[in-house]
Amino acid sequence: MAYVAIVDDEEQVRKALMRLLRASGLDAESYASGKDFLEASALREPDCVLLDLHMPRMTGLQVLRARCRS
Amino acid sequence: MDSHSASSAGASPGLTHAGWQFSPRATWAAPALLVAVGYYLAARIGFAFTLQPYPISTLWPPNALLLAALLLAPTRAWWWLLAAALPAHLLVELQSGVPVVMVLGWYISNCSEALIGAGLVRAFVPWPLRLDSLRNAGIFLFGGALAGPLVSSFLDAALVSLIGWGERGYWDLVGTRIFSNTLAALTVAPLILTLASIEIPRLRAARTVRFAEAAALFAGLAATCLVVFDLPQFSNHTAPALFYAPLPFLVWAALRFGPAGTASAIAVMVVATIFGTVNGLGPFAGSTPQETAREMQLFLSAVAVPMLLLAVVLHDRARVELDAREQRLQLTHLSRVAMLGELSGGIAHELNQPLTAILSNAQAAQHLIANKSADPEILVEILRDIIAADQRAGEVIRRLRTLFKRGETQFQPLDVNELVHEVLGIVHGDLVTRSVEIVPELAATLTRIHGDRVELEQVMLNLVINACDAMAGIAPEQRRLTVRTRKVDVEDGAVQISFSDCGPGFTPDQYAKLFEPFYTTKPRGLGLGLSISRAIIRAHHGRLWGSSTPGKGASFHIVLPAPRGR
Repeated sequence: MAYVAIVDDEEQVRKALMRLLRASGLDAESYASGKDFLEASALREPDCVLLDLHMPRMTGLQVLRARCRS
Repeated sequence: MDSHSASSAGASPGLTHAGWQFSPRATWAAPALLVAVGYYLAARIGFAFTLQPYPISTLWPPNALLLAALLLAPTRAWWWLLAAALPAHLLVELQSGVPVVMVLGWYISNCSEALIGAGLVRAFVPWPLRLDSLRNAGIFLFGGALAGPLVSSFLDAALVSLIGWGERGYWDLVGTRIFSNTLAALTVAPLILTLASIEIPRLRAARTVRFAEAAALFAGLAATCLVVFDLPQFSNHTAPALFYAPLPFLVWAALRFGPAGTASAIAVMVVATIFGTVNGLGPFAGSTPQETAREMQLFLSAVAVPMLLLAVVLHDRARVELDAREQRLQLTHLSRVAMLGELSGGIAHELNQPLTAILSNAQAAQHLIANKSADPEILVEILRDIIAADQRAGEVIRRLRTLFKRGETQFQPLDVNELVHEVLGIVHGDLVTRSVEIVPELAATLTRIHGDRVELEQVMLNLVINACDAMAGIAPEQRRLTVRTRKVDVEDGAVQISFSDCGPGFTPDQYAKLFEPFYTTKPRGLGLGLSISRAIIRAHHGRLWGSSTPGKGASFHIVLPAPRGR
């Protein structure tokens, strides 16, 4: 089963996307910050990432750059 | 609208603030009737105000009424307004047994006074004339109240001499006519002009206390005038101070009730004075009719002119102040809208989040129902989240709508912490985009201050945006904005709100210019934010200032006083 990671600081958005992806028959996991996601993705590589660009502290672009470097 | 009501609406002549309104279907009947009836009544008053036994008219209002009617009407309507006065003139004059030729002669001289006056005024002031500026009032006084009566008095006296009616000499007649016509033009014409310019809706909106004040003014004025001008004189010598007794009331009218109120007050005084004089009462009685009339007319004219001008000047100044206030409001609103424009990216994000949540939740529910795996409990949860997200979006719109609105300043008791929350809610999206972290340090309890919610939010919004802009050049993880509210201990109940950023700060030289309009350090800034903010805080009797340690950040502080009377 494909694994999708959701990175969004908004809880309501995370919850809704999780519901949608799971209802569509996908395996989904959500993270409230870029830092949480980077730590977790080192353990399990997602097939797809839904990444919010507007996030406090670490923006989506910064997460993306950090992910590509590692 | 049916044809009946349409025609009745079209037929109403309507004395509006702009003078008579003329529809294409010339609704001339009512103004003409008004002029005819008014002329007749004015002539009866003129006859009543005649000194006996040797008849000398002290005030001749019909000409002044014609003058006012012409000034209120467009030029093309003049001829039929003058024509409307002819039947009234014939009716009233033929009763007194004057030869028809003389009656017609007087009609011509009466019309000529109104025509000369109105023509001179119209040459300089376009229709409609409003006595709302010193220029207009000056032109009216010289053209309508001085030149018209002066020139027509020679014509009048010439006609009388030519027709050979009466026994008085030419210059005697000229003198009598000039004074009685000028006094009427000075008092009756401004009264009609200013009363016609009263806006009925504004009168309806006036508070009861205003009407009570007007009643007190006119009652006091009437009583004073009765005592001064309408009591029998016990001695031949009248204390000059008595003549000044009505003045406070006239000044009161000029200060508080504008040209219309002043013209009305002058009318009350004129009527009381003339009534006393023609009945042999008051300080002017006792001399020969000519001297009595002359002295009284000079006195009334000398009072009427400066009072009228004073009222006009005060009215004009009040209007200029009102215009300036309106412009300040417009500028404040414009600057607020511009600021919200800057925030539009963040606001769009703020709206997009609940919309994304609603869409995803609804789609998830669709999938669950389609797969027949919908657990009712999950659906209930999804619906609850949809409602919450929708309410959040509504909240964003509500906040925006309040700030976009353009309205009068409305002072009300406000919780400063609540205002801070509202403002941070509006800029939340923008703060996230700019990686600015908010450090709130809000006092647990604060006294409510008295202020305008929208304007104070505008000031705070401005300070937050400035702080964010100031921190654009430093590392994202260092961008921190501390918002602090606290009681000011030395000032009982006053509240201080401070915004401290970690930007480069400002030097004393820069600070000297910060609050000047059009001074900006931003590439696309207007430089109005801080100057408008300071004006708003001043209007709240508060203070707005900045402090900075260059290199370590800047702080801006607002102090708002507690409501008075605590």
